[in-house]
Amino acid sequence: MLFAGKLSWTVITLVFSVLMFVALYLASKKIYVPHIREHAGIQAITEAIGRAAEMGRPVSFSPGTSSIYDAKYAGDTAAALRILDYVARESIKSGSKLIVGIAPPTVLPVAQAIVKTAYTAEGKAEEYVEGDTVRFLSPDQWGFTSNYMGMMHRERVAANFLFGGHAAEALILAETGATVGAMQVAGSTNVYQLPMFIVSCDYTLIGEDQLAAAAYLSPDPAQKGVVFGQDLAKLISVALIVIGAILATAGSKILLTFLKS
Amino acid sequence: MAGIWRTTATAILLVVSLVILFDFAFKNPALQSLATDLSNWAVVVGAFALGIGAYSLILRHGGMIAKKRPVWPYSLLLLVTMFVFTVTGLITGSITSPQYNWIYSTFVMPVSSTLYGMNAFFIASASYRAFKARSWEAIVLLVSAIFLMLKNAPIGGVISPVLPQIGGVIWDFAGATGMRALLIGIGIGTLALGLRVIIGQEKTPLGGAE
Repeated sequence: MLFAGKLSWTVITLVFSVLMFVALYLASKKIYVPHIREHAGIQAITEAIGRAAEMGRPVSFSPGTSSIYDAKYAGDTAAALRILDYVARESIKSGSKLIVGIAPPTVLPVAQAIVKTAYTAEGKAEEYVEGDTVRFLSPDQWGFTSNYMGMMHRERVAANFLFGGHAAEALILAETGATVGAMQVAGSTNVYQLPMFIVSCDYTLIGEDQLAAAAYLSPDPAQKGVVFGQDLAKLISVALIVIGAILATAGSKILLTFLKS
Repeated sequence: MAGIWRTTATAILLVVSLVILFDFAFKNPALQSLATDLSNWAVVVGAFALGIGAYSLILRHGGMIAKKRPVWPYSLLLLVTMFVFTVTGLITGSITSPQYNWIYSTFVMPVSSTLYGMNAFFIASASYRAFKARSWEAIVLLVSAIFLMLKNAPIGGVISPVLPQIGGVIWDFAGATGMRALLIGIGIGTLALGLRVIIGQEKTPLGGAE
């Protein structure tokens, strides 16, 4: 039996999920592979790593301060870890030193595995330094912040990536990156921290761009199918808003009653 | 071997995700009890991860002290602090004991507050850079920011009662609608990412792609 007020949530989640699965299936079978426009922010990741390699300075990466099972920002953390995989591989290819700063302990073993796998896959397993390439800084928000700031200053990083769930420390980290002259790319779904990243970083992946970054970065067509399914879900949402506005203007509350059910 | 591990992990992830998801929508005591147990397990696993973190810290900073790296005194301070906190917690048996609280409120709290307070200065420096009218977008940002500041600061209403109203229109219409559109996109994006993780399309949360 459904909880009261969860009917509309269940129906919408089911419809959107089916839509995404159909788009994923069509793309994986190459029946319809959508074309995804090039994203300047994601291209900037490669550009920043290349710049760091030319300058002979390190690349720093933060997957955020939210744990991997955080109720609100677990999605951000998962997306950040996917981007970390890409950043690690690109850094290894270009010969740049990579430093990953970790705050939540739950993210540490996953980040270590990702970076270690990337070094092994690129044939440079000996360059991965245990405890140094992926650094556990502090589980405390401000302990992590001061540590990460100090690391950016001491190592004079040339590229800094801030993804995942960041809170009040977002502006401090981004401004420190700007102070040391690093090219910065950030991403967040936290609408209160996005303005901080936008004013301080060179490029910012706004909201869902960060979540879809995995699909942008992957050569797998199935991943692009999910992005197409996502866009269809957004079109339905916009249609519901327009229909709801027209119905409400006409005095009908049918859609409102359904959404509250 | 890696293939078996990944398949097992994906299967566990699928089952756990479905239990949590169904528990959110359906009223069922057995499902609720299982979902609560799974959430508690996550907390226990998180506590083990803290041990891995402590090991990583000791490894790195112990190495820095041994090799007398330039910042080794800070590493020593970190390890001593970590030791003092752990011992105090173990001896007093609680992290809410007066001794533990004293160390926390005397050393950690002031430093944390100072760092948080630094936000004010960073906002000023970031605003200075962002509000330089170098492009049309920056001009829009600058003008909107001026009206919003005049809406929030008492001087806006003193100059003219119209100024806070303009700021209010920018906040209520442009700001709120933009933020809601963003939230709808984030909700759908999170659902898509969740589906990719559940069906094993997204491999990084399990420790990296092949």
